[in-house]
Amino acid sequence: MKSRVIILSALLSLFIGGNAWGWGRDVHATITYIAERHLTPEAKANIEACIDGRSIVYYASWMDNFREESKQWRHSAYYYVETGKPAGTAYPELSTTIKKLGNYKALSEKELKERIYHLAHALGDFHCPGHTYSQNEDRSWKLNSHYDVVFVDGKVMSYHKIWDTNLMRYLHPSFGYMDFAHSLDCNISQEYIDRVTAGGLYEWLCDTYQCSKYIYDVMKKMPKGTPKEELSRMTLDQVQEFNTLADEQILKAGLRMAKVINEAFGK
Amino acid sequence: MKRFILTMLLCIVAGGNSWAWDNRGHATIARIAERHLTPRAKANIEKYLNGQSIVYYASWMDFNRKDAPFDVTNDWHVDYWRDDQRKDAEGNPLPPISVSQIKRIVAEMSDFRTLSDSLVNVNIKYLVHLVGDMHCPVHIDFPTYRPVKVKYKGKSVKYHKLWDGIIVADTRYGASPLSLAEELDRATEKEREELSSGTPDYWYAESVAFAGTAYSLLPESKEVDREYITKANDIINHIFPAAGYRLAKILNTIFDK
Amino acid sequence: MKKILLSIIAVLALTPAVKAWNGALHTAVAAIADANLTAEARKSIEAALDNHSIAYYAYWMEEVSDTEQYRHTENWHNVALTPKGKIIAAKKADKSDAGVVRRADALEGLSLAVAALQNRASLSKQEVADNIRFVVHIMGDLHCPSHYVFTDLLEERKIKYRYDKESKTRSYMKFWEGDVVHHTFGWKVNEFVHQLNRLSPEKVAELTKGSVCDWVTANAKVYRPIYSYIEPNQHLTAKTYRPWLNKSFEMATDQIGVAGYRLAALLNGLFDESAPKKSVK
Repeated sequence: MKSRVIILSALLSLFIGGNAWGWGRDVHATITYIAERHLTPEAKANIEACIDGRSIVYYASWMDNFREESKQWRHSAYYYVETGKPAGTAYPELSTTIKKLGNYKALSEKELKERIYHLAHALGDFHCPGHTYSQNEDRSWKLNSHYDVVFVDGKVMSYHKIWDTNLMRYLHPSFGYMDFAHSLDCNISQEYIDRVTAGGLYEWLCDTYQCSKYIYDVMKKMPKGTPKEELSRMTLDQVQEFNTLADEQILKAGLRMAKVINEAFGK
Repeated sequence: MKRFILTMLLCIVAGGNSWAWDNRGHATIARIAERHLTPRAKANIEKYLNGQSIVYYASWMDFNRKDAPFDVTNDWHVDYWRDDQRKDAEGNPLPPISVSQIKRIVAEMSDFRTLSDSLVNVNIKYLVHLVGDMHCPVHIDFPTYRPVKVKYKGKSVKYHKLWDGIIVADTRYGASPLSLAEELDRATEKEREELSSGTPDYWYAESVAFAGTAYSLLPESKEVDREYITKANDIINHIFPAAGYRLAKILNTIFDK
Repeated sequence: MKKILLSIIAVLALTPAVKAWNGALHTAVAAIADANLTAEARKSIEAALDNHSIAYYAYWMEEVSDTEQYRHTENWHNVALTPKGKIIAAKKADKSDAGVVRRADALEGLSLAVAALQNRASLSKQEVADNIRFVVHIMGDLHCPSHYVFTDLLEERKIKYRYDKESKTRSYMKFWEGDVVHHTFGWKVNEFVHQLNRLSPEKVAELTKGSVCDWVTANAKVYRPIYSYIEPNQHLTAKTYRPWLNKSFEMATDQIGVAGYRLAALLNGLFDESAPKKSVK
């Protein structure tokens, strides 16, 4: 499995609410806020000094919002990368950003800011289980991975979108990013933090892939246009189970982002 | 428009069958309780929740009531179930369900370390939810209030939905559980002690009184006006913190050891 | 199916109840102010408000504006300005002026409320509470771009735009009362505080310098350009809406923080002996 993992990250938002591809806006804000809670005081002060004194949470969805205007970050709707063979897409770009931020004082003001915005967003999407898979698999159905399922309330929905946007909101409609972060990152042990932040981008990618493999293996694949009666039906049990999985990805993304920022800006 | 969104959210939340405090209400009560847990109780509880907060599980029971093995909990949320059974076959009065369950769980948890992790975990979720529910004025005397409809903003709305979420959603602008808990958790230590003294039975009796008041404040026309909303908010300002302090007391008693 | 889901999301994202969002933004202003009240000011204020925060009542004035008792406050929401940005007192507005100019009496309302609070020894507790709630609400309105009525831009206030395939048009003024912020950030009240209550003491001193009229004059300069961002009946698509919105959201969001700091300065001056006094004029 370590062989060839591909990340597909949909760095595009779609819509005003920024809610359809990649994690939605609430999840991105939650991830960056978890990261912020784990920054050292030096790293927090240093990174905020680079972004006009704002919180990194403010920029969690900048990549989605400014996609049209900022050409450098205007990737195609889907972009993917083979690890091992970094080839000009999501993984190498994120890897470059992390490397460049390691020597952030050498960057121009504009590039520094945009690299921070990129990190704050892309490391989140990187952990979205719908966006990682192995090259060996038939990825056509995943790429457009919008095969339908019947959601708990009887609505037919795309399985991919259920993952990207709906689980957290579904179970906790009144929560803001602070509520989510407080709930997930309430009393986790240092041992857990050390364990999940061990390694680097590549190890984290392999870790996310495990999650991704699971979610696509567990659901019967049904092409678009399948009559509703024949579609797989999601149960609330599944929603809860998947939600637990997504929670863990969100928590890991936040902790790992904190590690990257602490290493780059903590000096 | 607001109503439309609200209805949609309600549908999304519980497939159109929401009749508990909504997610905001339950999570706010859990958050108020969390603010008053002792450090030791808090640490013990969170160990069973995998490092997560009780706030996150405040609505868990609402999502786990239809399918086995949790379908047995379906009627725990209220005092008497829909068929209004208040007496057993011999004519002896039946105790209110939510309160009996709270008492049963508290007894079961008296020595929580002897129980399996999963049982403690699920019992925490039950307590966090049920203490909230037993303070909701439409969960008391449930068979009576369940069919009631009122007029709100020109439309016919179920009375219990008004209390479950609409009042708070329509008047606490931009409120999240954390912010609402901070706004409402204002009692002095002495007041907190007073509010959390007594037993679940005593609190239930108080809830019955509040439920009666809430209902009697409705005008004859069943038209919910601003005056009603203002008075309802006064009740909510009392029962949210009261429920939170009581939940904290129950959890501290169990887990601060 | 995707289309249906998208349209559901779009509906949720695009049409929050204007009033509710307005309420959320007013509440955010008050919550930021609350975080900047001195302990003494907060104590007296909350004593008057029956142990509630100012945030709790941030939208109250709007909610009661249709009652007989508070009918006199109905014009206390807008401010009128000449093309050059000079404030026009509604009292002095000519009969020939448009109704919207004659009804732009927020500064008069604020002056009355502030004057009342300066002499609050003679007021009942209820009157003190009412006047605090007036100040809290009006200060929010004075930082909302659509509450600035420029006499030469009255027609522009009626601008509508169309969003994508919707048949109904949207009001550009309403856009500035909520969507401009909400369509970028889905923050809750405490999250507005986390994001915006972080300015340096120097910056805060600069923003809160002078009188309320100075603040309004400064805001007018910032708000006037919004009319150049849009054409009547402009048609924004799903693709062009976001870049268009990007011109506006940052200023609108930051002004919520600015309003909070200024409201705190005004209230501290009124309720804390040791804080500098702020005047309206």
